Amino acid sequence: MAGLAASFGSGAMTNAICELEQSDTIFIIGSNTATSHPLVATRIFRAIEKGAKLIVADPRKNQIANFAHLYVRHKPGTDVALLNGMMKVILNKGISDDKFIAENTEDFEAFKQVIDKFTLEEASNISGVSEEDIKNLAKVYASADNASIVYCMGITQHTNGVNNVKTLANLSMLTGNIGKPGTGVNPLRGQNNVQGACDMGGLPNVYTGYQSVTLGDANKKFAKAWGVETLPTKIGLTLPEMFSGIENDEVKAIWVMGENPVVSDPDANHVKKALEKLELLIVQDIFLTPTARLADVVLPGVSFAEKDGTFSNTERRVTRVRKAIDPVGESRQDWAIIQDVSNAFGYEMNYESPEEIFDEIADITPSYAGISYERLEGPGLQWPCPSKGHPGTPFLHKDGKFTRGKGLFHAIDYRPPAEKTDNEYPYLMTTGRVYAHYHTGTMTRNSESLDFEIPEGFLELNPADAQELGISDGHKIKMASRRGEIKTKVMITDRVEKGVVFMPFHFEETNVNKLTNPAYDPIARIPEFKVCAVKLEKA
Amino acid sequence: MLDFCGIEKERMRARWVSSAEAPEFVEEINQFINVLKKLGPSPLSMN
Amino acid sequence: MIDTIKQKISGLLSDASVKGVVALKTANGHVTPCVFQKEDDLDMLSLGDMQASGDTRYPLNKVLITIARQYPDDVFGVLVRGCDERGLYTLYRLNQLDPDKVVPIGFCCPEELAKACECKKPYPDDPVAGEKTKEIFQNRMEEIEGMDISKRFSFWMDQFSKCIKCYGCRNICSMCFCRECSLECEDLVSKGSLPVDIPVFHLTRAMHMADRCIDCGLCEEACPSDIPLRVLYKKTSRIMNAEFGFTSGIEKQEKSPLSMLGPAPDN
Ligand code: SF4
Ligand code: SF4
Repeated sequence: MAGLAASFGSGAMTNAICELEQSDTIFIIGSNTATSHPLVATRIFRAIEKGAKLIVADPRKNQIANFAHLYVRHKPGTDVALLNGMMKVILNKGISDDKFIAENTEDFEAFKQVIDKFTLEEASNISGVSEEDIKNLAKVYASADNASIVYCMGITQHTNGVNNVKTLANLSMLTGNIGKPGTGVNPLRGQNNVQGACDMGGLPNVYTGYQSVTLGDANKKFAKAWGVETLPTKIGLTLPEMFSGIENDEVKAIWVMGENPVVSDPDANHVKKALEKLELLIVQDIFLTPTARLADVVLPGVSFAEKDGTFSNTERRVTRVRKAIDPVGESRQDWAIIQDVSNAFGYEMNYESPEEIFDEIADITPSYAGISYERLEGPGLQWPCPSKGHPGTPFLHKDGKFTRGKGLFHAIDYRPPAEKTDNEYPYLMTTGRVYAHYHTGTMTRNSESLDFEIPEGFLELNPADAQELGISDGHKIKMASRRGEIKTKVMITDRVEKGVVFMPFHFEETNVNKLTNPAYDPIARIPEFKVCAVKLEKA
Repeated sequence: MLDFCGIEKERMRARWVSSAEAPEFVEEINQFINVLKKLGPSPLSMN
Repeated sequence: MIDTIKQKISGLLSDASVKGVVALKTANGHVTPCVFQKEDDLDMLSLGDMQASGDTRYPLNKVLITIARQYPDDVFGVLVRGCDERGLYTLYRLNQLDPDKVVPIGFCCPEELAKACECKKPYPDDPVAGEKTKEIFQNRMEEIEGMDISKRFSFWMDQFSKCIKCYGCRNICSMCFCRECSLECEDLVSKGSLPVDIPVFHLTRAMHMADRCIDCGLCEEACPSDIPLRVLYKKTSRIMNAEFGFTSGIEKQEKSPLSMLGPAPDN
């Protein structure tokens, strides 16, 4: 999100999901849309039926790639090279939208210099995609009237994730494909409320609505609202910093809410050791997750069915969630738990209901200012919604009027992923999801029917590699990286190309994150889940 | 239904043959093989 | 129309001839299924779709089956359109509901809606409210039959490949009540990968719907991948009709030829 915020001024999907039906060209990169976001895929299928062109770039030939008019398989971690190659073609052929660039963007020249220096040949060599295909991708995308880009973790979970996103933003601005219905750059968010968590300031550097903690104005406003003298202006710790903090004895206690870092974070062995070293680990969750099993204190929170409140989804839509059943067992409303802890510490909170909390959010968050529970009856509202009568905003940056003023081009050179293959670790491993499970499986693996579909982890391996290793379908394999080793079953498939393997990360027993690289993006601090060098051996 | 989905209906056939009727069974299978040979590979196998 | 229906439900509740009525209510700007047990709650009553199909239809019969399994001795009312009534008849036939324990409260769909649904019988036999309108024919099936065989093949394979195995088609279908489902049988449909086994997954369901599907269209509305499922099941129903003269849900008492023992057909 940091990348989009820097380019456009707002870190969220630029369009509403249903607008994808109006796109005449859709470019999917690093998103396994049909599996991970099926209802977004529905809109894409509808667009295709209406005649839209679909282009897909992904190291792994996923389900939606079967519907693509053009599918290219680039090597993991080479997105910038591929995209810069496309932009090279667009500039060479003179099919960029020069009027849009001149009127609505800045820093184009610096960006152009980078592209000028880069050659199509380099793009092809690095990404493993033929020059012909790169040319075609560029032509199809640039000649569209309403092109939408759809991306997901395949773009962001890299050491250069923010650069990947900025490069996509460059591509959309270069061709003027932004600021219209069905036209824009659309990151698909995972959890139903991950957008909401970010909107609420669940990041170390901002308050609600992305108001920066380093700006005095916002601090004063929040200090006043919360009845305190001053608030700190220092940026907090990101996840990787917390873990290094534990190592240097700077962080002594952590309160984890609804996360399962023992399975979801890279270099899992290391994460576990760090958590064990803490003086106090509190975990608030709905199940006793592997992380909760390490905790000193477990606070049982509530599931969606037991709570009242709002969710903000990937298209910035705020919707109400209503309590269907009373909290089970000893579990309690998450907000009430936080309120009690705060009161025990001596900062008094006296909220009576989630609605009262929401009203406070609306009071101090400009993009939520016009939203109230009353207005959320029915289908909800998409932010920004700055005033009571405002209808909400389906797509951002209308007519090239970017949230930050002008759209900002970024000059971005290709940088290789943090870890390369070598003689000892000759395979590139990438991680991802499968359709029956969600994230670390805390919830889905507790569901009988979903666990029935896919009960255990597996490694996708190209037939040629399988032959070299002398291994057949369903057999066990030992996979090791510089950080750890696991054993798992093999699935032989040409979804992955030779030299590349794929493994889903939902399974605690075969936790692929024991292997992944914790090296992270310098800005967004997202770890490189998608590229890591491994060796394979028959088990 | 197969035909409706674009798969030649000749690709499926059901016959009752008793376990005591070996020659009929052989004849039936041979005939079916001939039918299938004429039809060529199934569209499903090329998918 | 809604007032007539409210009166009818009121009557049933006040003289205690039913324990509750399975219908729809509007709450918080959404329409949801609801079991009405008090007359006072009836201001919330909703009839669901009136113009376009798909936004607010629910398988009320399915809700009724769940309730009837828990309260086998009680009588319940249920709101029915033409399609729901065909469903009730079929569920009586398949011994999933007892006709003596169900009071249908029928109403006719307006012409607009019948058109949008392409409904073959947009009214129940004995409606409490509304005017019976004409049946609507659709020719989607004929269009597909008119394609040449290889085109037909690629049409369906493209459609089936979109399937994400969400089981929405099965879960919403009131005629799908089995406790064990063939679609979850590993010997028939392999598990764990997408796209699902095609065309096995969809044809298995189609075969199982042969004497059941009442052409309500809920499955197609529910399918997140927009697969024209209803056309597929229409074809099985058409075959049933051509071979045995049977159509599911039209005659209240009729038995299915698939549940009769007798001489094999002579072809
Ligand atoms: S149309 Fe679909 S949902 Fe309705 S009865 Fe037939 S199969 Fe079931
Ligand atoms: S509803 Fe559609 S996508 Fe879901 S299982 Fe049925 S056919 Fe497949």
